[in-house]
This record gives sequence, C-alpha cells and structure tokens, in this order.
Amino acid sequence: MEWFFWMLFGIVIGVAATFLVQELNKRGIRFVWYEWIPALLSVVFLIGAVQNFTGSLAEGRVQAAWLMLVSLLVPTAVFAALTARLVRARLQ
Amino acid sequence: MSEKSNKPRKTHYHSTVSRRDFMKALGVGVASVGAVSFARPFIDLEDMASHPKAESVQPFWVREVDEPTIEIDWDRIERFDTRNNAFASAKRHLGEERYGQVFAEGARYEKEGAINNIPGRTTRDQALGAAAQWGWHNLDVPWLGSPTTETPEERGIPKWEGSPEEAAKTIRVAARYFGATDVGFVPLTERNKKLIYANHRFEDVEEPYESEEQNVIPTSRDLWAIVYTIPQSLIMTQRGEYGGYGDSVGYAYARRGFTAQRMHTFLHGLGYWHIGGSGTGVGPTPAWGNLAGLGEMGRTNRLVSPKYGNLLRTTAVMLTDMPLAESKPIDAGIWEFCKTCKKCAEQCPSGAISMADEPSREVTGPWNNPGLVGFYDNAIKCWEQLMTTGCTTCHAVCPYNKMDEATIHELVKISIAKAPALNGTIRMMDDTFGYGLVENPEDFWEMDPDDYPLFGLDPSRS
Repeated sequence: MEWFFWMLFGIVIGVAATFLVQELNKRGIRFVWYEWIPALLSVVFLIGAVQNFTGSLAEGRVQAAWLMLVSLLVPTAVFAALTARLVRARLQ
Repeated sequence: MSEKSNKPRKTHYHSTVSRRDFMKALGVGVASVGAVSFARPFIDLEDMASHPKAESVQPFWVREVDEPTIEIDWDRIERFDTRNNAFASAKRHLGEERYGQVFAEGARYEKEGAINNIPGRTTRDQALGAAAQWGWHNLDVPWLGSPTTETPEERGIPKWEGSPEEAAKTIRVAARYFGATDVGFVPLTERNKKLIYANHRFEDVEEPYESEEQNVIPTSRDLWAIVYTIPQSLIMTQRGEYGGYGDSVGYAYARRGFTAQRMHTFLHGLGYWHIGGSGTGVGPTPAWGNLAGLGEMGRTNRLVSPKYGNLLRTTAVMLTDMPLAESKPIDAGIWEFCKTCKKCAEQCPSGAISMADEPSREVTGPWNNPGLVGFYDNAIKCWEQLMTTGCTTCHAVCPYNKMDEATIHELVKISIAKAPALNGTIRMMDDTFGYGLVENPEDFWEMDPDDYPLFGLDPSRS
C-alpha cells in the first residue's frame, strides 16, 4: 500500500500547488524565476520530511522519525517564509 | 618489490536503478507510470540475465577501482591455515581451564536469562534461536558439493557455453535466485592464490578431489572464483546480543548451505567444476569479497557492503573452470568512514576491535593473516564474548547498517562516498537519532506480521 500513500500524497501536493497558483493569478501575482527556487526547495523538504518520517516509523525507529520530521520541517518553513517575503518585497 | 595498492583509481560508475529506488526518488504518484516499464515480468533465465541488474548490483554512487581501497602488501600475505582461526585455535590460546570456563559462563548466562525472564534471553527467545540456527552445521555441504543432477556429459547433451559476460550474468542471476545477495567474479592468479587456505593443495591432476587429509585443486585448467554474499537480518540483529535475536547469525549460516548446494548442482548441471562455497571454504572470505567488489574492508576487519553494511554474515567462495567476466573492487568511501567512525570498536564489549586512529601492519595474533595495512581484530577476545553472550553488537551498531525505508540513509551513503569531510558529523547524527541496539528485543513478537523477516531476510532489504 506504500504506492497508494505516495499517489495520494502526490495528488494532494499537485492540487494544493494548482490552487495556490490560480489564487495568486486571480490577484495578479506572478512568481519571477528566483522566487520559484525557495518555493520548490520548500516542497522538496516537505516531501523529504514526510518520506523520512513515515520511512523511519516503518523501520521501527520512532526517535529517528520525530527528529527527522522536525529537522526537515524547519527548512520547509524557512524556504516557504523566504518565498513569501521575496514576493511581498517585490510587490511593495 | 612488493605489490602495494592503496590508491583506488576511478574506472566507471554503476548505473543500476531498481524499481524501489525509482519509486523513492520520485516519491510521488507519478512514479507509477515509470514503474510499469520496470515491472515487465521475466520470461526465462536468459531474459533475467539480460536485465541491467544482472550486470551490476551496486548503487550508482559506488565507483569501481583497480585495487581494493585497503592497502595490501602481497609479499607479506601467507596462505592461511584454517587451524589458526579463532574457533579452531581458542583452546590452544586460552588453555584448557579458561576454555572450559567460557562454556560454563555461557551456560550460566543462558540459564540466568531464562530463570529471570530477561528480555532477549527468555526460554522463548532461546528456543527461537535454537530453531532458527538449524542447518548451520547439519546442512553444510561437502567441499565438492553433492549435486542432485548429472553433468551434461553424463546425460549425453552439450554443456552450456556462453561468453564470459553471459556466463557471469547467468551465475549472478542464479546465485541470487538461490539466496545470494551480491555476486562477483575473480580469476585465480599467482598473486591471489595466496588467498587459498594453506590446507588445500594445488596439484597437476585432471579433476578436483577431496580426501580426509587434503582438498585438492587442479592446476590443469584456468580457474575463477565465484564470490557471493549471504546477509543476516538487521531487524533481528538489532534486537539482541544473544546470537542476534532469533539467532540471525546461525540462520544466515544455515542459508549459506542451502545456497551452496544449489550452486554446486547448477554448475554441475551446466557442465563445470564447483569447488568450495560452503563451510569448508576456499579462502578468507572478506579478502575475496573485497577483490570481487562486493564491499570494502571495515574496522571490524570484515567486509562492509554498500547495501548491507557489515551484515554480510558470510561471503562464500566457489572455484570453477567456467570462464567468467571479472568484477572490479569498489570504492564507496567505507574504508575512510571506518577510520573516523569507531562506533563498533567503542561498543564492542570484549574490546576485540581496534580503536587505533590509523590502520597498521601489526597483527594481534596467529588468528590474523598478515599483509593488510588494516585494523586487525583480536579474534580470541571476540570468540570468548560469542561463546558467553552470543554478541552481535558490532553488526547492530554500525551506522552503515540501515533499513532502506527512509531515503535519508541513501543520502548519507552518498555523502560517505563523495564528502568524507562529513563522516564525523554522520557518526554523531547516528548517535543522536538513536540508532543501534533496540531497547526491548521482545517487541519482535508484537510487530506487524508483514514486517517479520521472511526466511530470515528483512522484507525491505532483500
């Protein structure tokens, strides 16, 4: 069932990204190339956090799972905040 | 002039991507589209042998090199007499009294565990271990095997023939089907003949034979070593010191017998010689595994594989006259990592593993074979620990031994191969994340049945 989880996860990420881009378009906001970089890095770290959390639990390593989740969610949040800040700074 | 080798040179990289790796790399649902193309069913052995995986079994970040990463002084290597290994010589080195004490302590340790219901040593645990190790000794096969088929000549049909590359693929696929994880091939040369046990004799005879006194290897034909690995379960090894929980050690040795007998029969059925591969062996197995590119030498003075770490319970060596494409030694950064890490040595309860910063030429006793510039272990101390508590600590704690569910482990291994400056940090993180022996080995009985090691093999690493 591992493939099913990742399929659902991929769909959720895809739907969320599509929704976000459409909402930004409605408001007339478009990313420039250098804003895509932290945005994509944020998604990569999010996927990494989920994969390593679930993977470590599957390995029976609970301590590693939680540490992995926390340590990878931090850069996820940092890159997401950086993206928002870059967009806001450009629009102002 | 001695032939020394300590400077591995890059030749080329492997490029195998398994279905599992592929799914993980993408990590999202779209991977299923690509997976369909990898999931084509095999039709026959020829078809299996044409799969890229049959050519190489190492991950893409492992480099092939011309010489092993550990320095070898071939002039100092002597043919090792198996009567000097720890199991055969412990009594001689320890003396009769201490030798008897070791077994008495072992019996006391087991009894105390059962009476006090100590997790990992209860009556249930000990029964599981005793059952799992069945076949270790009683199913081991003779030096020349006992094939259950006739040769093509005896059957009046042509022997199987193919190019060395086709032959290597065929053997690799068959060996894996029979239970070997990785397979490599080394032509027997004057240099590496030093790695054939001293109690085997080379003779100018037409066929190999074995007698009570000697096993005889013919010099009348060119020979190749088929080297293959039999791993033990990480799930079980990390669950206890009593022989690895459920005696994962003994279980792996038992599987070696199953695999060896099938390899003997397969080569016999193809029409070629088949010598060794079982407990009797041909030569020091870590050395042959190193030459065949199945791993690098580690601090434990044993083979460490890029995929299975030091959980290769045994490396089997079988000689044949079938011409086989040679496989090269590898460099995955393991030898350099072992110099920094030292986790196995720090946690070894008997102090048998070297804590030295740099490798040395000094052996610790006649149980070591000189010629390596390595980390020589005190095999007698290790033996004493084994016989009393059934230790597998060095296997359980090695940072290189990980399941393959979390992708971070692969990234760590890539870092070890490409960025050795981070080796110290990796060791520190391994401790912080809590890897090593698990606290309660008995949670094995509460695991999801899908996660139990099937036939002694971890579900996600085979």
